[in-house]
Amino acid sequence: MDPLEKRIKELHDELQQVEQPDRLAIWNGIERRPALQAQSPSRSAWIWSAAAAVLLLIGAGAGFWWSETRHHNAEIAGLNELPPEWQAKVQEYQLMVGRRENTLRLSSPDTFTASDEFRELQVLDSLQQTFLADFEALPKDQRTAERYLHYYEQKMRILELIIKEIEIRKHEEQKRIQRQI
Amino acid sequence: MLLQSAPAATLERSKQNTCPVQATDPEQDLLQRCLRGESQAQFVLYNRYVTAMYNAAIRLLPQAPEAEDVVQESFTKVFQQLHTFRNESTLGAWIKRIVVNTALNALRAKRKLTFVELSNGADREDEPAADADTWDARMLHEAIKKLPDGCRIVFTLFAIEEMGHKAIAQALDISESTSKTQYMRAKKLLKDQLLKSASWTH
Repeated sequence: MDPLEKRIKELHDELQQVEQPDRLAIWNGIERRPALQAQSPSRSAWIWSAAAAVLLLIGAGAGFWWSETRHHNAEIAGLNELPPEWQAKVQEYQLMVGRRENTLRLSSPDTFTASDEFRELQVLDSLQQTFLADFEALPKDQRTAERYLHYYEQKMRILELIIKEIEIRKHEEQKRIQRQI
Repeated sequence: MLLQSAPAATLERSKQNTCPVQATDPEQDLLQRCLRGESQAQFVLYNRYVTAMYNAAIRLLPQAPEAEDVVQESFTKVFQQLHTFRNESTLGAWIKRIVVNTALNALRAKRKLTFVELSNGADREDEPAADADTWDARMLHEAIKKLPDGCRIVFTLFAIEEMGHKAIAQALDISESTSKTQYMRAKKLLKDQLLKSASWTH
């Protein structure tokens, strides 16, 4: 066996994990595929209960979600084990995410505003939990650090969408009130 | 999550415990839950395999949006066809086969695959590359992605997905000898590229 083939065999498992996909975007795409949205009658009950659960979850109040989110932020398992330059980047992102969360808290979103984005955020947090659970076993290298950072980048993107949606809602509400006056 | 669950007949079989997928360990339990159309289980299964599947797809289709499309389509098929999984291979290998087939279909649909003929002697074995041990997975992955279409696909299927030249020839509608020469060409190009990038870094 020549050295290239030998090396490929040695790195076979690593080659399956070398590039990190945008898991959330791909999952959202799977969910949106029209061919898969045909629902059998036996599933409709589940869909309704899932929808109710999501609404209940959102309806339980943004406050609960805030505390959960902040808990995730505090949960920086193993951050100290990453290369120093990446630790600094993660901390910088955490600060930026924190600022957006504060902006959002001051906006006091109602329970139904940006419900899709809130749900996306929940999926993102669940992915991050899986990542953190595996974190100990992962090599503390640039690739792992990039995955760590990717979570915060995605979170910032979603938070910005929510803030924008709230601003649009507020603007519409102001216009409606002005019209009434 | 609105994924189509398994056909009613399959669910009936699974209730009677005659389905080939038996709930005996966590993976089998996960499969049973996916067969029942449980969204959370589908997400767990997706999350477990998506990275490996994406890496396979992007070596066949190096543009990220194309690879993402292939992964989406593949998992859609996985959830639709899970009732046909018979435990004859691992679940990962079964999903990988779906990903590879979907990627090859996408390649055929989007562009005509060209297999550049080799000049005389270009398919001879090279001098072995002395510093192969310094090549890491990232370097190899990036170098493979830069290969021309035809030899990149043959190399990926043979060296990484461990398909034989006969199976590759059938899948790509080429002769076995074309598959072999494309593989040789890929190896030569890869070694040249890796040696060049190693000399830049030193």
